[in-house]
This record gives sequence, C-alpha cells and structure tokens, in this order.
Amino acid sequence: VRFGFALKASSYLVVASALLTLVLSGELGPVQVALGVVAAIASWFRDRPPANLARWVRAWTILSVVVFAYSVVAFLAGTDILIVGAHFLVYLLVAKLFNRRECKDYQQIFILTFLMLVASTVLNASLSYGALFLVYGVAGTWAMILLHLRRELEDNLPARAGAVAAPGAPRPEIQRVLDSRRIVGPRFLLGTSAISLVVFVGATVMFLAIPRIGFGLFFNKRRDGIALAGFSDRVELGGHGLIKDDPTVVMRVKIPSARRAAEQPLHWRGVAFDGYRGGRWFRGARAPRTELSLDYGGGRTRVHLRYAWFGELEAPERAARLERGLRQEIYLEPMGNDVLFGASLPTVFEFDTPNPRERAGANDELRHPHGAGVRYVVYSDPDSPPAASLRAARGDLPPGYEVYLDVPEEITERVRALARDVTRGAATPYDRAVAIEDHLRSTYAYTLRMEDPGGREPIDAFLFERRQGHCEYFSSAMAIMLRAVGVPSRNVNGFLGGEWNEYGDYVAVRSGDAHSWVEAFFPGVGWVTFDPTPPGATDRLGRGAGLLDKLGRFADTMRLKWFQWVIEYDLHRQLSVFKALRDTFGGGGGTSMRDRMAAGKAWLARNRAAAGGAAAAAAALLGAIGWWRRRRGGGVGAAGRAAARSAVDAIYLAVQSRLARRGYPRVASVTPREHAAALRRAGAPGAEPYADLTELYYRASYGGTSDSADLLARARTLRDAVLAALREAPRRRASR
Amino acid sequence: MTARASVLSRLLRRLRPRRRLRLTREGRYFLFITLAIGLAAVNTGNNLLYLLLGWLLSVIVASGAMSDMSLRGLRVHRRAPPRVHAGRPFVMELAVDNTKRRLSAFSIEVEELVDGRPVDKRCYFLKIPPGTTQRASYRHTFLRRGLHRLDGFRVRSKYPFGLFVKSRDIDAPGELLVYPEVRPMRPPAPRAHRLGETTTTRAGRHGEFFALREYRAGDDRRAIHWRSTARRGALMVREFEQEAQRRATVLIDNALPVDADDAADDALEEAITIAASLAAAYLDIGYAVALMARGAAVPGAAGPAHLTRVLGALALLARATDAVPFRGELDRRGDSVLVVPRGGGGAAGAPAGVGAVIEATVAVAAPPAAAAPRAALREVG
Repeated sequence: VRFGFALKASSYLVVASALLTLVLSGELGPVQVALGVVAAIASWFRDRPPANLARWVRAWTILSVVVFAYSVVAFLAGTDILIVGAHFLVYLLVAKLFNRRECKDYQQIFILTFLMLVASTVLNASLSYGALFLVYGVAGTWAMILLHLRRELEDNLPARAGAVAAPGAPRPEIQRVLDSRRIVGPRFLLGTSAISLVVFVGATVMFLAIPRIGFGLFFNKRRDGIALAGFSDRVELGGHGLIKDDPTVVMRVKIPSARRAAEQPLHWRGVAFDGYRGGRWFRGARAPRTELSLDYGGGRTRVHLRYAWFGELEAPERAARLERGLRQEIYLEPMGNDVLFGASLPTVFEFDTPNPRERAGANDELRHPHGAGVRYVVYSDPDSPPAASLRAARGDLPPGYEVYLDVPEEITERVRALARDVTRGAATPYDRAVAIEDHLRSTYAYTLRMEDPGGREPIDAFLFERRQGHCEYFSSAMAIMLRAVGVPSRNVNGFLGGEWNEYGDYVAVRSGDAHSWVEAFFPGVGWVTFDPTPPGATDRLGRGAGLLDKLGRFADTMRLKWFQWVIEYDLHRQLSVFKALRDTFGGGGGTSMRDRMAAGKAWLARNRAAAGGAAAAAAALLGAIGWWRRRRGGGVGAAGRAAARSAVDAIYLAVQSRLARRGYPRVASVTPREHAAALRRAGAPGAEPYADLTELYYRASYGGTSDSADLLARARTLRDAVLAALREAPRRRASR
Repeated sequence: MTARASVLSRLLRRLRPRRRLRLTREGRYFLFITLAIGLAAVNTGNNLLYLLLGWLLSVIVASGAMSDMSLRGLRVHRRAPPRVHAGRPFVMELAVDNTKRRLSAFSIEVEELVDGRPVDKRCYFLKIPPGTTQRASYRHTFLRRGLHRLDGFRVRSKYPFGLFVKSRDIDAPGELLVYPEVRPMRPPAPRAHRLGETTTTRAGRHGEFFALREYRAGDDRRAIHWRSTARRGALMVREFEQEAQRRATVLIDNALPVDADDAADDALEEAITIAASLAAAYLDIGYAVALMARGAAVPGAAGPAHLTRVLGALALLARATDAVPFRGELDRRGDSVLVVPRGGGGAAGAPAGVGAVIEATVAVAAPPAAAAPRAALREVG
C-alpha cells in the first residue's frame, strides 16, 4: 500500500466511524445528515485545492458564515444546542476534508471526529456506538501512527535545493515517500492492529477500574425516550387499521430459570385505570394512591408498595414477602414515560441509587423518572392465591375503592344484562370473575384488525356486533362486566410473556408484546389478575429456531451486555467486579468496603457544591502554578526549559519560539545557523539581530565560554531588537 | 581536584535517568483533552465518556510502551573525519544498528552528546528494520580547538503517536581533537630578504634527501625521481632536508595574566589560529617548521605528517603565565615568527633574535558576528 493512500484511507475510516455514530443516533436532521455524508464522500476525490486558491478559500469562508448563521437561527428557534452543535461539527468536518493538505489539517480532522464521538456519548447510547468505537480505535491507531511518520518526514527530510513543489502539493521528496510502498506493508498493518487491540484491552481495564464516583455537578443524563407504538400510557378503544407487530425489545428481564420452566407467561404490569368514559380508560382524581415506604442500605433503596389491604407490615413480614417473591432484574429501555414494570403483582422495587426519585401513581403504579433507560430489581407475587381463599374472601372495601365499582351510564343495558346472565349461578365474586373470563375467552375472537365502531359504545359494539377485537376490548369488557356484577375491577396495561433468550438467560419483552388485562379485587386477599383474551392469540412465547431468529436473539444479548456493562456500569457493579476478582485471586475480609464506598458516594451526593468547589479550586491552583512557572521561564516552552542551560540559551529559545509563532518556525532538520541564514534570505523581520543572537547562542552553547554579564547584556539587546522588528512587521499567516 | 571532579561528574552521569520523557505540543493537547473528558465523565457519570477516557489513557500507556520498544536494542557508532578544525564545519558519520530480532525501529533521531549536551544537528532514521544498520551524517562546527569529550548519543523517538518525546542516552565515550582553524596566509618575507641576501623561494636541491612527493609547478626538473615516476605514473620529485634559510620557527606566546578577561582569551585563540596558519603556510611551501611555546615545543620537520604534529600541539596548547619559559632552542639561522596575543611589543621572556612579531587582537565591539580578527604584522629589525 502506498504510504499516502494508507494515511488517507485510515483517516477516512476514522471519519466514517465518527460520522456514523452521530448519524445512527437518529437525532440529526435527515437533510443535514444526507448533505454531510454525500459531501464527506465527495471530498475523498478532492485531494488538492484547485488552482484558484483565493476563490476557493473565499467560497468556503462565505459558506462557513452561512452555516454558522443557520446554526444560530436554529438554536434561537429552539433546536437543542447539542443537535445544533452536532450539525455544525458535521459541517466543520466536511469543510476540513475538502481542505486537507498538511499534517495540521489531518490533526484537526482527528480532533473534530473525536468531538463527534464525545457528542455521540450523549446522543447515541446504542450498541452501534460500541461497534463504531471499535472501528474508530483501530483506524485511529493506524491513522495516528501514519500521520506521525508523515510529520516527522516533513520535519526531518532536508529540503532539496532547486526542487519546486506544485502549489498546494507537498515537497517532491515528501511526495516520493508518500508514494513509496515500502513503509506500509501487511506487517505494518498487522503490527498496528495488534497495538490497537492492546490499546482496547487497556481501555477496557481502565474503563472497569476508574472509580465511578460521579456526582452530576453540572449536568444530568439526558436522552430522549422514544414513544413506543406497543405500550401506551392510556387506553382508547376504537380506531381503525391493523395493529402491526413491533419486534423492538423494550425490556429485558432476568428471572430465575425455575420460573421460566413453568412456561406460564408473566404479566408485566405497568399502568392501571379506574375510570372509563366514552371508550377511554383514565385515572380518576379519586383513584386510590399507593403509599410507599422506603428503606435504605448498602447504597440501594428499597421501595415497598404498601397496598391498602395489607395495612402496616412489620419488618419481619416485609422480609418474608421479599424472600417469597419472584426476583426480577429488569433493564428497561427509554420509553418516553416514567412507568416501571414488574410481574403482577409487584411488592418491592429496588434501585441502586441512594436518592429516590420514585413516585407512586394512582392505582398502584410506580413511576421513576428516567430518560436513559433504567435498571432495577422487582420482587413480585406472580401466582394467584388459591381459589379456596379467594372464594372465602369477604369484608369491607378499603376506603376509596368505590371507584372500582363505578359503571358509567353510557354502558348499555344489554351489556349489564349479559354480565348478569353469564354470572348466574356463580356464588362468590371469584366465581363470577372466572365465569366472565371464561365466557369472553370462549365466545369471542381475537383480531389485530381494528374497526371504528362509529358512534356506538365500543364495548357494546364489541360484545354484540363485531364479536372480535384486540386485547383492550377483551379487558375493557371484562372490567366493566365485573363492575356490573359488583366485583371491584380495573383495567391494566403492560406486556405479556416475552421471548426467552438462551444466550443471555433472560426474557426479552418486545414492543409487540404489549397487552391489556384485568385486575379484580377481593377484600382481605387483594388484587388478582384475570386475562380474558383468548390464549391462542396471546401466546407469543414460541421462539423461532431459524438462523435469523437465533442471530436476532444473539444481537439482542449483545445489546443487553452493552447496556449492562457499559451504559449502566456503576459503583455497585464495579465493586462486585472487584469482589469477584478478590475472590478469584484469594484474600478475604473487607466486606464493609462496599458500604464505605457507598457512604462516600452518598456524602458526595449530599455535599455536591462543596466537593465541586474543592475540585474547581484545586484545578485553578494547578493552573495558576503552571502559569507562574511559565512566566518565570520567560515564555520558553517545555522544550526550551529542558534544554536551556544558560541564560543566553533561554533568551535564544524564547526568541525562536516567538518567531515560530509568527510563521518562521525552525524545523528539526535545520540548524539554528541555517535557520538564521534562511530568515535573512527571506527578508524576515528581525533577521539581522536574530542572526547575531544565533551566533551568541553558539558561543554560549558550543564555544565553551561561560555566560558573562557582557554576553548576556548583548543577548538581551539583540532579543529586544528582534521582538521590536516583529512587532512592527505585518502579521504573516503561519505556515510551513 | 580535577580527578575528584571527574569522578563526581561520572557519578552524576551514572545517576542521571537513562530515559527521559517529554510532552510535545500535540501531547499537551492530548493530555488536556484527556483531563477534560475525565472531568466530564466524573461530572456526568456518562459511561461512554468513561469509555473514551479509558481509551485515551490506554493510548498514553501504549504510546510509552511502544516508544520504549522502538528505542531498545539500538547501537550507535560514529566515524569522525581525519582532521577537524575549529570554526570549520565537518561531517560526522553515524551508523545505527537495530539489534532487535523482530521489531523495526521507527522514527529515530540520534544526537551526538558533546561535553554533555547535544550538538545542533540531529540524524533522523524513518525506519530501521530488525538486524540492519543505517547510516546518516551530521554537520557540525566546533568553535574552539582542543580535546572535546564525546559522551555518547541521545537517541530520541516520538513514535508512535508524536505525543511524547522519549529519549535515551547511550554511552559511547570518545575524544575528538579539534585543531585550530587554519586560514590561507602568506608567511612574512624570508629573513634573507631582510638581510639583503637574494635567494630563490623555491626548494633547493641541496641538503639531505627527505622524501618523495608529487611534482608541483615551479619544481626543479632536476629533482624529478624518474624511477618512482615510472612506477606511480605521475611525476615525483625528491625533497631535500632544507637548508638554514628553509627552516622556520613559529613561536607563540601563550602567557596570559591571571585576571585576563574574555577578550584576552579570544586574542590568545586568535594567536593560536595565526600560528597554525603560519605553520601550515610554511609547510606548504616546503619549509621545515618548528613550534615553540611556553611549556610546549615541536622540533622542526617538514612534510604533511608534520602538520598534524604541529596542529596537535597547538590544539592542546594551554594558557600559561609569564613565569613559564619557552621550551626548545630557537634556530637563529632560519626564519622565525613570534605570535603574541595582544599589543605591548615582544613578549617578556621570548627568545632573542626572533625575525618577526605578529600581534593578534580581536575586536570585541558588538555585533559579535562582525568580530573580525585583526592580525597586525610588525617587523622587527
């Protein structure tokens, strides 16, 4: 491979991966994305600026002003600053790609791509980021090494006298090396790939090891959820069209495998409604609210749902319920709402954050504001109590539960009559509920095709005319019929079942698994789940055995791992990793470490301002020390400081760096004396005193004489002469 | 005192770290970005930023390890030119061996360390494949004559990413004798001239056979040595041990007062340069040249090899005081020139009967580049 081509190709690979992380976030405007991608591809074919450089530069300047103005307008119009910034980054990258000539341009391209990667950390948290980051890392290692070699060549290959380069093209001797095929061979690519692999292993180790003591000083996580088609925070009957199956995984649940063997699909309860009016379920203002009790420990928060019929539970009873319950570890994708799900009925939610943001909703819902997906643990009681105890249930309704008996007036008489007919002969509320469930399951058909009932009451239309519908019709009908025969009930929305993923040992719940069912209340026992939808229609547990299905499940496992180990990797997981390592490599004790770390994190969370202030003060102090040291060094860079042995050296190096800033740098292949001579030939400002100063420098450095006061005084005079000449001369664009 | 100082300096050199690390400009930016990402990561708790941070840190570590590997197993040799004069550029050849078995060394810079600091020009090697040697050379100019200590080499590399400059010092002690500068110069008129005698300026045919050399325009054709001419294919002439008037003694007064300033020091250096130039000029026209100085002397002889002896002595000539006498006997029959570093007539204690005196002074007015040495010739009767 030609050296120049290898550099170009690896740089474009870097550009492509960084650009794709932004594009795949789906947050950028489609027009901007299309323009950016097309322009970036087009820039590949444009290696050199055209002959008319001045016009070319002017065109880009005008374009930059236009794009900047557009960005400002877009921002003022209310577009998110991050999106505006990302769009502008794409533009800058394209502009730079069209104007790449020197090493410096390539460096700036790398910086831009890195900024894109940084922006994507907020915009794109999907697995695609991880995959593209891998590409970026490998290609970046190649590109950085090649760029470094090219730079070194430019610095060290002595300019050949008489060789003239075309405008905008590298020097002929550099071009010769760029065209050479001897530098980048398969061995080089293999070697550097090995390097990037090592870099990645190192990055992984660092990622896992860097302590997660984040305390969110200025920002909070920000990621917009996507409103999903399947699950909805409301239920509205009616509508028209075909409900499409959506295979997007919205929730992944780790459950004990014993439970999986039961093959009984679980109902993942999300929201519940008490009121029904005009074909729409809602949460009434009088809907009972669940009280929560929180307990903290080990850096986690446990939220106990205090269902009204339980009364106040004592601590041992709480622990016992926890012990009995089904433990589910849930990874919830962002869904555009803050509903938490759990197998019916959840009793305890557990979070790894010490600061609770949970809110109890009406009808025993639990909400937890999260924008970026969340991991939590739920303990539930998924099994219905034995039929005997349900039949025996009697007693008063808890206060406020009358709303669950409310049958709106619009419900037609024949619906109420049907409810009574179906439950004739059923002695207890439980038997009535079972009878209605059986009737709906056996008499009506399931369909995903919706039909608008027009002006008719939807439940009536479903039960007597259409006689088929989707799960919301079934659950609505049952809830209303239960109320008609005096059984408190509510409509529940969530997901049913899910697909077992054999690679990751979890249940993947898809958007298409959204479901609606009914909960009926039995005094003294509690809410019990009934699902009147015909079972055949809802049986989505079947798992495909085809290669594509398997691949799909494997990809989903990768997604979960990415979420588990990268996106949601936190102090607790980190501690568990350390603990596992410690257990593997021996050693014991120190169990309180976790608590201590958690306590430290809690302290940080409480004293955010103080900690932030201390960090800022430390940074400012470091900066001040650095500035002071730099001042004392007389503006000499680190290179000068290391090499400067005498005051004359220091003066010479300071003047040299000043000249470099004004566009007259000395490259490594040129000796100070040659540099001075070249400046004199070029008629650079201050070239004469600089040449004299250079001679003094030689005397001080290689002449063996020590700095005398006289020599130093002369050096200072010459320095002032050079600086004065530089001040008077017009500025020249720094270039090499 | 000096012995102890050298032990100390050697000890210090031992203690000096073998490897040094310095940030480049890009490296400083890189470090700054890493810090910023680290701050952002801690601040937001965004794990993807932690991932970036881990990668950046890992790049830094890998960069250190790779530059180390690149610098390891390198051997450097030098080959100096036969004669090095002060103030005259010379070319030193460096050869770098990569003794590693598998790994190429990339982007290697080699600097010669002279008297503890690198010379102004470095040699660059883009790639040295394993088990091979590559050569490069650097031009350098020593400003002062004398014995220069070559400590070794500083091998540096910015490989792989140009974020850091890692350097390693390789000890390769050596010495380089830098001769005084020799300028083209006309020797003073021969003594015979001044005494009214007329002699030819060409080498005579009398005296004892000295050596064979190539024919130069103006040589006496009778001196051609035909047998060696036939053998060599070029005209060769016999040279004869010079007679009295073909002998010259260059005297130099290397005495300086104890409180001499830089200017006086420079004047002495200039005097030594003039003495060397004189000796070279005399030798070039076939004279036998002797050198006399306080505490040092070279007996008279002719031929190119003798120039090396004279220059060597002048290169190492140390400053003395008036108390130190001139060494050797002045050959009063031949020409003689005394070079003194400053005005004030003949140097005290100089042998009597010197033919000519040259005063060497250096103008010290700024700017230093224009510090033109001025040699004033004063003829003494």
